[in-house]
Amino acid sequence: MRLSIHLKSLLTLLVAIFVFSVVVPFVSAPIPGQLYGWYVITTLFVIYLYVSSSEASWEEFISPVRQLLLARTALMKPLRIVVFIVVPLLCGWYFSTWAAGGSAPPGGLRVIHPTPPSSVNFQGKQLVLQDIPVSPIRKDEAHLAEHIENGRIIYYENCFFCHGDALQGKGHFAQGFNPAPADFQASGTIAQLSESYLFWRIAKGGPGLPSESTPWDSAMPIWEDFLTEEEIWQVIAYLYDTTGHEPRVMDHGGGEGGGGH
Amino acid sequence: MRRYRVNNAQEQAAKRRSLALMFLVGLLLLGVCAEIVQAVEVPLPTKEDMVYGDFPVVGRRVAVWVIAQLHLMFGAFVVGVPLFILIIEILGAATKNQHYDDLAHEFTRLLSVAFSTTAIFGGILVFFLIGLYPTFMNFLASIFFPSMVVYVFLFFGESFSMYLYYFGWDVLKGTSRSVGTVIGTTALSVLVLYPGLLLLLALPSLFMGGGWAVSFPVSFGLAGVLFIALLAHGLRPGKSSFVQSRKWMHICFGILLNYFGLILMMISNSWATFMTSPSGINLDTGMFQGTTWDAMRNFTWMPVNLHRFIANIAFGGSVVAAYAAFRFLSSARNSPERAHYDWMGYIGNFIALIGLIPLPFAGYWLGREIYGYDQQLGITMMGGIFSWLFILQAVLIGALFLGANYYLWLGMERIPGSERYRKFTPVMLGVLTVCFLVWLTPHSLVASLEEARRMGGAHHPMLGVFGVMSAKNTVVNLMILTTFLSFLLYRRGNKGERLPFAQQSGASKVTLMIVAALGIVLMWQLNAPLADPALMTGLLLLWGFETLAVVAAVALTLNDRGTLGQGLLFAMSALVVVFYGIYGYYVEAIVRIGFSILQVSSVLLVLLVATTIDIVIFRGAPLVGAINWGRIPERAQYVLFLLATSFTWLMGLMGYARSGLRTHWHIFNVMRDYSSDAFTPTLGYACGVISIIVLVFMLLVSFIFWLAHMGSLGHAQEEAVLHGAPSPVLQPGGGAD
Repeated sequence: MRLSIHLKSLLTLLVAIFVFSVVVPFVSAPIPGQLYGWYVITTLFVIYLYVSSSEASWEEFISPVRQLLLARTALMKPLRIVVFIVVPLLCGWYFSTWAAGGSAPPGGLRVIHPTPPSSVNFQGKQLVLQDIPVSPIRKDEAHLAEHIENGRIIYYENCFFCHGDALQGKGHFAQGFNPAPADFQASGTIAQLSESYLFWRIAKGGPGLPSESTPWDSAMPIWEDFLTEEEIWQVIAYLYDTTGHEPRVMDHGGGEGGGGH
Repeated sequence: MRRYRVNNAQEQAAKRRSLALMFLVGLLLLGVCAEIVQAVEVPLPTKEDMVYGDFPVVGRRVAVWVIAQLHLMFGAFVVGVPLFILIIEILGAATKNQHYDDLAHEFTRLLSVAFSTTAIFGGILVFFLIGLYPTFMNFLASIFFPSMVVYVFLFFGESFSMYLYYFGWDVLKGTSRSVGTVIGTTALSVLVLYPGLLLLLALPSLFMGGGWAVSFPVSFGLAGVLFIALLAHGLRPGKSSFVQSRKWMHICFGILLNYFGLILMMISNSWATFMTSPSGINLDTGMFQGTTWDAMRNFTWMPVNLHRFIANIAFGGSVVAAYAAFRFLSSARNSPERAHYDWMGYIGNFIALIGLIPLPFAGYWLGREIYGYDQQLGITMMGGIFSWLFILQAVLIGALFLGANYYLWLGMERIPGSERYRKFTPVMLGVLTVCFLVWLTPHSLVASLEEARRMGGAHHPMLGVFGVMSAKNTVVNLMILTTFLSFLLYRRGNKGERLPFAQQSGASKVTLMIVAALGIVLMWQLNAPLADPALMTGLLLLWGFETLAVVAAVALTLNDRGTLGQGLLFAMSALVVVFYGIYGYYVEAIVRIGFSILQVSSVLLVLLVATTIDIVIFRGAPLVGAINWGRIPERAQYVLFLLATSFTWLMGLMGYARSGLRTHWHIFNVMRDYSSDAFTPTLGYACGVISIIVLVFMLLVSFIFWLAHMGSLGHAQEEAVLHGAPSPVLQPGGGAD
């Protein structure tokens, strides 16, 4: 049996909507409204491309519309009037509900990787982050295990309550925060970052986030008020050691005379 | 006799004047070269030194922004178009197909009118920069002045070669044995071949050291020898030589035009990239210390050069295609004019696609270098405020891929026999759609508080996976493969039953073997530099797998199963792309970056070998029917407008990202912007400005093309009156793939 192009298009749209609004939420979580809108519009656009990709299918698709608009039959005349009244009303209804809005706060453009400054003032001392490609305690390889062990203790005394036992951002207090504490095990957090970046985030906490892309709403404390420079490096070493991630090391170029390519 | 003497004396005087002029120009050039290698010390201006001009209503930043972007768009057109004009002209000369020659000539007409607009915007930009940012421009000029002088002089070269190329089109045809022609063509040939010569000489020094110091003097000597040899070759009595060909002389002008355009672009790129990734600045002394050359060869210079070079071709092709679409729509149905512009639009779109395919990888290199230069810049670009521009970019690029494929499918309407391949359209559209949806899914989503709570954060637990580089690289490669498949199906649309492979010429078979071997070697060359000892086994396995697929594809082709061989190659590449896409989630960032090269190279391998197989197996196949140029649905022409608009928009958006990355710095981390415009505008505002620029560009370009059209009408009427030519209309081309 050959399906008509209209039925095919409708089925494609219905299957797509079923996947977006039932399958994905069932398997993981609902898709936010904006992305859902993009997906549906893309699907509609692709259906248009499909039906118009050859003259034959386009003719088949468009002929009922042409009939509706032009045919002078007993059926089409009243139908035309109904469609011309109902379609504008539907559009009006949609736009008035859309324009009326709701009481929910607007969606936020969350920027997960805030841009670090090139240097920070740490307890009165100027640290140029760009000049610290790797943690200074890594130079002291003989005592690295000791540093990591210290880092573990510091973590459990300070960080554990929010970031959790398994370093997955699921500590006892985690539920109370939005945004949620960072999950260090995920491939998108510390695995993507250099150690100096982590140093900046730990030392300056939520209040030290840059002014762009505000509001951040991060509850991370300013740890330079509680920890020493070495202690922060130790806890960073502990995070990488336990999760098994390698800190990102930036190629350091520029400076004098340009770089080789 | 007396008159002869007078003439002789005048000639002597003219010769002396020419010699004196050449001497002066030589001195000037030497002076400029000396300036370039002369180290300078330029102190950085302090906050108190900074002076800014004011611009009414829109402010200084928007004024410079709009003019610079418009200058750049016209510049891109003027630099991009000559390259493919030249290729089309060479194609026409090699195949003796007049249609190609006429097409190239028509493109040149568009070029010549766009050229002066580029220069006008360049002039306005300079005045605006001097008037609105005087201190900053003074600082830049103190460093870059010698390159600015070279730039201006090269402009002479660019415009002269352009006008010689354009106005010489009809004159420079056939052959001439006159001494003047031979000397002229020889000199031009040497100029054209010189960069290749220099590159050849530089190769040994790359491996053995020694640098350019030796290469330059030797290259001058060799150029002299080449000149004498070519001259002798051309002047041999009774023998024909390519230096007697006026067409070759014309092509040489075209090549020179490309050289000049490219160098001009590279020089002005160096000024802009210096602002993003400055080199030679000593922050302790607060000074620039170095030569102009040191400042020019900064970290992001070469990646920007390459990225812009490729993008110019894509952009030029798409604008030309849009012009053809407009002419198509405005011509009568079933007219030869309509057929001609259908063909022109097809060629323009084809060129745009050729540029589009490698563009993401050049962009990727640029992104990497920006990260490499400064992690702050990198994060601002890809993770911070500018990352949303990349989502817009993704949507537009996705639209480009969908549009380009759609155009090819609609194009099959004009090819008798292509209905056999219609059944693949829904499958290809399905693959493209899934890839497009993944491609446009951001990592962190715009979500209300309620939605974020339901997702458990700003990342969607399932769709968030699509937001990272591994997924993006995978789908872009699959989109390229699908587009390539569309093109192959389009190409074979009107081809009938293939000849048995045994009947193909020996040359075809040898070519196939050579290309396959080349592909295998190239794969190794591309992938081997990644060889971390830990990854070596995997790399060898991959290479073995790819080699096996290529060998199997060639074997199948030899046994008359060429299309199956192509299918095998596509499957191999799709498998490699998806495998490394998924594997990428389980490795560290630095390894993952290397994976993108493995994915791309497998796609390149398919592009290379499958195209060769296609050419070889369909050679001599009978045609089901000729392509009916002009018989394409009109909506296809609107796709060409969409492509041109998308390209222009992309240039504006990503150009803003490249420039805006510096945030509140004139020169990143070196010289602060102390003006009232130092803030980064909101994305909505920036996109508004960019959209207005795109609109202005489109209007200007339409006006210019209308002028070109009017000029050609006038010219055709003149011709008709002079020679009684019946019709100025060009006939449609034959096979054009």
